[in-house]
Amino acid sequence: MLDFFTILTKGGIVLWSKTFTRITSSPVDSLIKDVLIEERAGENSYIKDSYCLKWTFANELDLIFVAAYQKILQLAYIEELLATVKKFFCDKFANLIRDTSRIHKFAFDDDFDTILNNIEEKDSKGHGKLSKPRPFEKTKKFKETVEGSKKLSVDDISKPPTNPIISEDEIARNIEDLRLRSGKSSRGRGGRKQSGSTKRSNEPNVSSDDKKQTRKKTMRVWDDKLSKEVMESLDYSGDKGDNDNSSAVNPQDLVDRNQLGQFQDGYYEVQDLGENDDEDEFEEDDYDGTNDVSTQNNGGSSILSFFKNITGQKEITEQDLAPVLAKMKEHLIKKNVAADIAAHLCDSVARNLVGQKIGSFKSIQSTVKQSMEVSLKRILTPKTSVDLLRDIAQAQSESRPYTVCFIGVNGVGKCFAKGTKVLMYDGTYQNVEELNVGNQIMGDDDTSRTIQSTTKGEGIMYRIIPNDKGPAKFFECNNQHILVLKFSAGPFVRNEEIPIVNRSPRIRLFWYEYDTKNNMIVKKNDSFYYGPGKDYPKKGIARRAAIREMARKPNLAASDFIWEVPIKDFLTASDEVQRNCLMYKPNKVIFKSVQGRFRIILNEILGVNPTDSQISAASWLVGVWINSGIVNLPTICVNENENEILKVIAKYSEMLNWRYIKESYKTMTDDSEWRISFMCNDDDIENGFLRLLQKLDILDTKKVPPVIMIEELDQVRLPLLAGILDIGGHLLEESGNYKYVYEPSQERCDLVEQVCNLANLSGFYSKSDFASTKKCQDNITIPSSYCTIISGNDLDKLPLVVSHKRVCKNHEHNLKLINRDMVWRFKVVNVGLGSYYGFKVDKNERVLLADLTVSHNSTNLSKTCFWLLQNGLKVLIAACDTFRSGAVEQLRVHVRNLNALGQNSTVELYERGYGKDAAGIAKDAISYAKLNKFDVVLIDTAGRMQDNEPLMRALAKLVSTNNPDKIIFVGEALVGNEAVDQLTKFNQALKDFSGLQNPRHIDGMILTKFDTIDDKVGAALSMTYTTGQPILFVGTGQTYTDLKNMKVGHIIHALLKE
Amino acid sequence: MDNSTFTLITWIILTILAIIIAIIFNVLKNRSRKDTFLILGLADSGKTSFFIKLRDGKQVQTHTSMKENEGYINLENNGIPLTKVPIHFVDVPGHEKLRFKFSDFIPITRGIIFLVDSSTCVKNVRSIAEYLYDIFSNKDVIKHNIPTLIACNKSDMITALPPERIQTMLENEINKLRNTRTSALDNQDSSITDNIEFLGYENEKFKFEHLENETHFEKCSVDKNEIAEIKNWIAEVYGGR
Repeated sequence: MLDFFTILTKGGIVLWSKTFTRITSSPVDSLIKDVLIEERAGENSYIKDSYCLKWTFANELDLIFVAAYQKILQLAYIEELLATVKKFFCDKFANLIRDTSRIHKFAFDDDFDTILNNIEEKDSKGHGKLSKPRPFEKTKKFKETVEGSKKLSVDDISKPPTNPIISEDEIARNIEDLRLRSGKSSRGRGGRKQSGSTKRSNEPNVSSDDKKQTRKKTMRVWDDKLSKEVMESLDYSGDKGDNDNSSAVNPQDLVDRNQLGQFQDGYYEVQDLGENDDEDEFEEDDYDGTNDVSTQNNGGSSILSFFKNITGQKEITEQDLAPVLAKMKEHLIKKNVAADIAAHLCDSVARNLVGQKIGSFKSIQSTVKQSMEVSLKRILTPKTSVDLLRDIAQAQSESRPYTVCFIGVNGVGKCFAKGTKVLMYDGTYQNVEELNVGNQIMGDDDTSRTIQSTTKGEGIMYRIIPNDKGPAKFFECNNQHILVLKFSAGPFVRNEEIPIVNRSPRIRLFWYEYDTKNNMIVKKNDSFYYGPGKDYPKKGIARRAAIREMARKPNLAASDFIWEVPIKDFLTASDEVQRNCLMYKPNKVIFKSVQGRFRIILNEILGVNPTDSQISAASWLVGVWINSGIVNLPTICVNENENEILKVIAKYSEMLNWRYIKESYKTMTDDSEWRISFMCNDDDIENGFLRLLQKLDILDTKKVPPVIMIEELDQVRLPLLAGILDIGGHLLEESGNYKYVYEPSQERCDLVEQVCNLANLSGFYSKSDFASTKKCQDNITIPSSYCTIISGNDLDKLPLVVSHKRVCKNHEHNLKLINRDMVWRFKVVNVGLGSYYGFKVDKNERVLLADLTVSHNSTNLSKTCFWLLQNGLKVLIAACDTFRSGAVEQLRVHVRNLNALGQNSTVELYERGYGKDAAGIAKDAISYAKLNKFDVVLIDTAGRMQDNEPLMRALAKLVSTNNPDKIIFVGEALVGNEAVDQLTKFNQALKDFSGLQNPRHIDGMILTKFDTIDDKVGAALSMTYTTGQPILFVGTGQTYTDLKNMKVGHIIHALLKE
Repeated sequence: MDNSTFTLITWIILTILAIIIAIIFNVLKNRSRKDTFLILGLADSGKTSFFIKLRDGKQVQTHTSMKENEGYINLENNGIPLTKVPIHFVDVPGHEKLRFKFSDFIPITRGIIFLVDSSTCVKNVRSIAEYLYDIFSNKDVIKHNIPTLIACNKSDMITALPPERIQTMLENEINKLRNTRTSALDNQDSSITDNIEFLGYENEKFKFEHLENETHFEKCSVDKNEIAEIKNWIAEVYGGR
């Protein structure tokens, strides 16, 4: 059954061991290395090869007891055995163990066998009723062991095995320690020993109670020392509650003892049967019992305990620890340590501390803190070398490229102020604080982004206010928010002919350079002097040289350079640079995957598949109706002189085969208008237009149908908008810029917002506003009212039917801007402290706000690359993120930057586009690197959520086919509990899906955004604890140089800091 | 009454005095004396066995240490004592996560015995070199020029390498480490200067002779009780104080 049992010191010396079978390998070493040193002692068992190991500590003696058995067996009694052996061994050999000055022989074999036999037998008999005394009770000592073990069996089952025993035990130890100390060889320090023995003289009276209560088995000098206390406990031994204590506290002669034993045997067996129900009760009782002891202790010997305190004789009990550790746990959680891990850690610290003595003048707090510090240091200290460069050198000497695979979850949060509207994938809007995990929001490439997680917090907020060309609304975000900006200024040359004193005329070249290292744009200039004796003989030549030079400048930030910069960095840029940065939005949004409902509705109504022009016609009619139709009727009112509109209505209804009657009608203001009412066809009972309005669910509300918002742009949205504007809009021209002003009647002001959204989604700038005085093209001043102003480059695309409202296509100004993203200037205003709401999305992380402003964050692989390049290594980056759009382009930019930065460094990108098998690309990249003598291959993989099984499988495949030297997990320092989940699941996936005998696991981590977390460094601890792997680097900013080694001391300091 | 109060006060004062003196004495003792020998080395290189062997002359079974073993040992060779007083030895666990403790003992260290498992040296050469690098670049080790004995243990094994081979291997390895360590990234908190030093001479291949502190290589076998050389070295270093 049992394979072996070992008793060893924490120093690693085996005091006693017994092996029952031949032991292969050394499971105890693995236990110590993998579990005990890693501070995972909070766990219960450890499986190594075919063994299952259980262990217990005796901290007061620095001992570890380890039992091992075949893991296929279910040995329930092991914990009992450990506890019994521990108690017995500690009691019997305490003095020998304490004397660490030499090796002792521990004659324990016989005792162990007896204990083992006894426990095994009891176990084999099960928990059946055992009323007879054991037949083999030969010695007094043995009997005591039996009792001890019986008692323990109850303890063991009802609660974690070691705790109650230790707390009692430790008192016994204390006494024994004092008693036996004086005769012992010098081990402690001088001063203490002295006081220990002085104290001893007072001791027996005060503590004999405790002693009897707690020493259960090997008490050799017991019999004459029965006190009142013991009698009391005997008295209520019939009482269920106090059995735990009283069972061990025992009578003086053998006969009594036997009787009591029997009685108790029977009693406990009963308890065993009903143990489940009484579990809680037992636990309580235990604590009560121990509390009793300690109160008595305190009451009886306050002076003594004072002495104990100052002489360092106080032993730590579970009770002492509980409040301190609870506080510590809370503290750790506050520092962002995952809750589970904080609990484990505190358990582990408790296990290591219970029974230890507090040193002189030390409070329990400081002891715990110290112990925690040591534990943390152990956990955070890497157990393998973190010297990447050395590993690379090794690979070099084997003439193969060193491969590093970067894995991680997607993206990082983007944070906005409360109330910021985000465009959802279905075309609706939602406030950022209402977003939930799993929501689909719109990305910048017309595909959806799924929200992976949400966060919120508080910080300095900035308000981004667009100028009047941009969207009407500002948005607020935190200082980490990354602005995606278009740089609008290119290089230019200037002629400085006017001679200044001592200076010849020159051509000056100005350009903006993108500083890749600091992610900053700076303005630079160069002079080209001309004239006799100068570099250039003539002005023209100098100019040409300047222009030639212009194209050669590296990292030129020319027009259309897209700059992703956190707000806080943006604000440090020069005014001129800031002025030249524009926000932009894509021309239009197309909802590829959800559109088509309008088509289907029309199909149902018409009975045939509608053509594109039919769709446009129908939606134009809907537009017209929305603006000037009659609620609940398929009737449109048109001013009588709007001939063009009437003509088009006629044309379109014919196209759709819808019949209508036209009747003249006088309005209240005495204007006459045409009322056009659609009606049923002869051959059809249905009124087509009415049904369309019903299907769109707008018959009674007359709002812009939400379905329309996400429909096909050219066929549905634009005609609809045109229909609305044809009747309700005016075209204005201001200094060559056209814009539409849509002004519904007072009672329809809800339309303003709806039209505004529609226009925004259709590729125009649009804002709702209280218009002051607007000028129509025919110079009619219209009164101020609530209106929508629509402007943009593509206004000519609107298929308006009223000719004078149409924007001429060949207008020079419009031509210039056609097919360009829309850009606008903005200013950033600090609005002070505020709360922000963030979310993480998948894919390329660019999302659209309500007004479609693009937003984004970037990755950290290139920082590592930069460092490697600085060390003169040749690096190949394999673009294996074939999933997230924009990933390859992003890397391309990085590679370009990195190449420009280094003097003679080489970095290349190995890319094969999107959608291909990442594992294959990585494999090709590695062989390419081998062929071309690259030193390092950095594999960039797609960020993925740990729950996404297909993607995790793909990752495991990538890892198993390419077997990279290092697998580095890139995680965020901001995550709390989630870190554990991420890492475990990644590791699990690497293990489960690899199909390898020895699956790989994460070899190290990079923590990003370390600069943003202040002292909440818990994620670092959570991550190292979960994986047992070191944190290789921490990212401390956005630039290439912001990669640092993590300093263990710093983390510990931050974690324990109040 | 008066008398008894007085006695009590006297007692209290005396006790406090005694405690203070004891503390001062303790502190002084720890601070001033540099007579400790550290037993360092990777896990499984035989530190604890060596420690026990030195102390009891016995062979015991050991496992990976979690705590340091320490003790005062009377050094003797075949019954002849080598030093007059017992010497303080500390066996520091070799596990990567625990070895940082060695630096706590450095201030009171007289000499370092670094055990190397000669039979697995080839496999572990990098780890050994890294540990040695850490030791030699420790600022206290440099400051006090603590003499170091690199004891090539388990020389009785068939696969054991001779100390000379081990020395060259380690020198080569440290040579590489010098470059990678010094070009590592900055530490997170750059205000704290760390003790990564460049060992040996620049522009020259690393040799143990280049180190300020004395280093010796010695062959030994704890199993076969061949540790006389180490004992002699300890006695010499201790005596040469």
